[in-house]
Amino acid sequence: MAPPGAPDPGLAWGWVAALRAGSTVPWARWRESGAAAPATARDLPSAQQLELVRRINLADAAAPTRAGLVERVITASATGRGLPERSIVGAVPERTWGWAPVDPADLHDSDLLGVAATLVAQDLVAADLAARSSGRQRSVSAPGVAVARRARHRMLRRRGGRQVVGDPWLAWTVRDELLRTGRPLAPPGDPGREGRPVVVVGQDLATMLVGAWTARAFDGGAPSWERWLGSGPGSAVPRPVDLVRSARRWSEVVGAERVLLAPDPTLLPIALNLPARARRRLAPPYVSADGVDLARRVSAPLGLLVERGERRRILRRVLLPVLGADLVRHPAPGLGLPDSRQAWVARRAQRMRDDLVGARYPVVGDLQALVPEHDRHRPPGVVPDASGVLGLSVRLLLAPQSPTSHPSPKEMTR
Amino acid sequence: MTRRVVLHVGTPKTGTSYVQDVLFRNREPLAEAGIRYPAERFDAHFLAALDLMNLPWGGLEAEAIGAWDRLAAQARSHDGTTIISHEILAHASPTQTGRALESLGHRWDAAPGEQETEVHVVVSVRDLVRQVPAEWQENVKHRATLSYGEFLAQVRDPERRSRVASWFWAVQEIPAILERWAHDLPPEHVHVVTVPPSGTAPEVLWGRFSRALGLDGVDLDLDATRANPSLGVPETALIRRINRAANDRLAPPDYRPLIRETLAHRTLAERRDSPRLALPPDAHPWFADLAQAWIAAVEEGGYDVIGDLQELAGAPERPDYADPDDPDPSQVADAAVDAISGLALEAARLRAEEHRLHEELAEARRALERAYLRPSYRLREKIVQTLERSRPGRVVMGGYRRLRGRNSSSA
Repeated sequence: MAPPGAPDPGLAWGWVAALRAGSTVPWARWRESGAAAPATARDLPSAQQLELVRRINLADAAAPTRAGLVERVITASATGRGLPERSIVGAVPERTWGWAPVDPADLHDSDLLGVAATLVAQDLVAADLAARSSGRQRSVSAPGVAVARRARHRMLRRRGGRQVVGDPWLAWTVRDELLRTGRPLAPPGDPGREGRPVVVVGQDLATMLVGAWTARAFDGGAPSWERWLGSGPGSAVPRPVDLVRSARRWSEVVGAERVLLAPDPTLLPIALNLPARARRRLAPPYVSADGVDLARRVSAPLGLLVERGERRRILRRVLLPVLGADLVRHPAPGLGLPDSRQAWVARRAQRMRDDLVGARYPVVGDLQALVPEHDRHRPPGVVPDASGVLGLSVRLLLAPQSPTSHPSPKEMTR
Repeated sequence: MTRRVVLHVGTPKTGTSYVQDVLFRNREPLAEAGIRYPAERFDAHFLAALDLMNLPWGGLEAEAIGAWDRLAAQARSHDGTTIISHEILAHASPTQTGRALESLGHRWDAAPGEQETEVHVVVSVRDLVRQVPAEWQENVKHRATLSYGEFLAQVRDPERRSRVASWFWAVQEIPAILERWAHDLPPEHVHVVTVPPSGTAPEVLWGRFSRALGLDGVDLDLDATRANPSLGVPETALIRRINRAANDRLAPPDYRPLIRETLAHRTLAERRDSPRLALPPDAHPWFADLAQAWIAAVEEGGYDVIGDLQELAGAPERPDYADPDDPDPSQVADAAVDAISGLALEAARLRAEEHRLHEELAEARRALERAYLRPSYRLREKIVQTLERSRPGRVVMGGYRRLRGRNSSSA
C-alpha cells in the first residue's frame, strides 16, 4: 500500500474492479475509503473511460447489458484529435510534463462523449449487419433483392423523372416518399422530364435552418450547431436553404416558368400532384436537438467503420429509427435557433420572400410562409446540450434490443 | 530466429519521410537480410496508424479500415525483424499503444525472456526551437488560418484544450510519448534518436537511424525521392492568406494537390533564400526551459540515446527573427509571383490533359452513335417517340413506367 498522499495505482485498480461490479462511488470518495486491487491490464483506463462507466452504472446498474458494455468502454478509445486520455489524480505521480491528472468527476460531459459516440457507432454497424443477415432490412437483405432495389432506383432516378430541391431535410423526405411510391425522380443536377416543374420545397426559414443542419448531421461531417449557424460569410443565409439562389440556378437551366415554388408543406401534395392523403407522409421525421447532435458526433467514428455512402445510409436508416423510438419513452425538445439569431432570421426570411415574389416564379401557396411567425402553441426549440446527448447515448448503449427492431422513421411520423 | 519488431513512432518533422522512403524502396535488399518492411504502398503504415488511432484524415480513413490488424498479422508471421514506421503513431493513447503492442505479440505481464515478440520502440526527436514553427507550418499546409501568434498562445495554454494544442503536445511531448509507448519495455529496447543541428551533413542523421533500426551492414539505396520540404516566412504567410481567401470555396480533395503539393511543396519550397521560420524571442526562454526538463526526463529513463540529448536544447535566439504575422510585403509579393507562375504551369498541364480526355470522349461518342444505328434500337426509339406525341400514348407510357416501378420492392 502506498504511503498517505502518495499516488496509489492499486487503489485505482480497486475502483476499476468496483465499477465493473456496478459501483457508482465517485473516485474522490473511493480514495478515502476504497480497497486496492491488482492490475488487470497494461495501463489504467483513462479518467474519461472510468467516469463513463460510472455514469452507465448510475443510469441502470441492473441492466442485463451493463457488464458487457462496461468491458467495451474500458477497452475503447475515442475517435479523432480531441482531448487525449487523461490519467486519474492520485493514481499516477504528478509530473512536469504531460496533461495534468484529473478527478474524473471534474470532466465535462462532452469529454465523455468521445468514447460513447464511438461505441454507438459500433452498435449501429453491428445492428445494420444483423439486419442484413436476418433480412429485416429489405434494402440489403439478400443479394437478389439488393440488385433489384438498385436497378429499380436507377430506373426511378432516370432522366425523365421530376426534380425536387430546396430545404434539404424536407426535400429528402419528399424524394424518399416519391421513390417509395414508384414515382420517377430526376438524378441530382438533372432538370427532369420536359414539361414537369422543378419543385423548390421550403417552409419558414427558422425550420429550414434546423432541417438543413439536421440533414447535414445525418449526412456526416457537420460542425456544431452554433458554429454552423455562424459559419456563413457575413450575414448570408447558408446555401442549402437559400431558395433564391436555388430557384435562380434552376431557372437558368429550365426557364423561370418551369421553377415551381412550394413554400408551404401543407400544400405539397398539390405542388407534387399527389393525393391529399400523402400529406402526412411528406412530413420530415421529428428528431430531438440532442438526437441531431448525437448523429453529428456519431458520424465521425462511423466514418472510420464504413464508407461515406454507407455512413449516410446507416445514420438515416438505422440511427434515425432508434432515436424515434427513444423519444416515445423520453420526450425531448427539438432543435431551435438561439434567441440571438431570431431577428436575423426574420430579416433574412422577409428578404427571401421579397426576392422570390419579385422573380415571379409560379407558386403553390403563399410565400409569406417563409417568414417565421410566433406560434405560442409550438414548443420552443433548444440548442443541443452535452449532458442530454450523453444521457441519450448511454440509453442507446444499454438498450437490450437491436436498433433496427424499432419502427422506421416514416412510421414515427404517421 | 527471434521475432523482433522495431516500431518507429515519430516524432513528425524528424526526417521520417526520408526514412520511410528508403525502407519502402529497399524492401527487397531488406528481405534478403531477414528484415521485413511490410508495405504494398508507400503510405501503408500511415493507414495502419490511422486505423489504430481512430483518426479521420480527409477521407483516407475509409481506406484504413482494418489496416493495423493486417500489418500486425504480417509482423507476427515473420520470423525475423519487422520494421513499422510512422510519425503520427506518436499521437497514440495508452489504450491504443497497449492494443498495438499486444497485437504485435508483446504481453504486458510477461517477463522479458518470455515475450513472444521482442519489441523495440524508436522515437526520433528534434529540438522545440525547430519543431514549434514546423508544426505551425504543417497546420498552415493543412488549411489552417490561425496566425503564428495565435498558434503559440494555444500551444502555451496550460489547459491545452484547443485542437491545435492537443495535437501538438500529443506528437511532440517526448517524455509522454516514451511513457505511453515504452513504460513496460526494457530501457535498452527503447531508442531515442536525436536530430543533429541545422547544417549537419545528412549522413549523420541517417547513420543514427540506421543504428536504431538495425540496418547497419545492409546495402541500401539511400537516394530517396520523398521528403517533406520546409517553407520560409513569406511563403508560409502567403499560403495562410490563400487559406483565408479560398478555404470556403476549395474542397479538400482539390486543396491537397493544388495548394499543398503544387504550390507549397513543388513551387514555394524551392525558394531557399527567404528568411526561415523560428521561435520569437519572447517565447524562446519558455521553450528552452521545457527542453531542459525533457532532457532530464529522458536521461532518467535510461533509454538507448543515439546522438546527443543536448541537441534537444536547440539553437539560441535569432537576432534576425522574421515575424510571419507581419512579413515583408515585397518578399510575399515575390513569393506570390512564383506561386502564380507555378499554378499557371499546372493549369497548362491540366488543360493538355483535358484536351486529351475530350478527344477520348469524342471517340467514345462516335462509337456509341454507331451502336445506336442498330435496327432494334431504332425501332424501340420510334415507338417511344410516337407514343409521347399523343395524349393516349403518354398515358400508356406513364402506365408502363408506373408498372415497372410497382413491380419492384421499395426502399
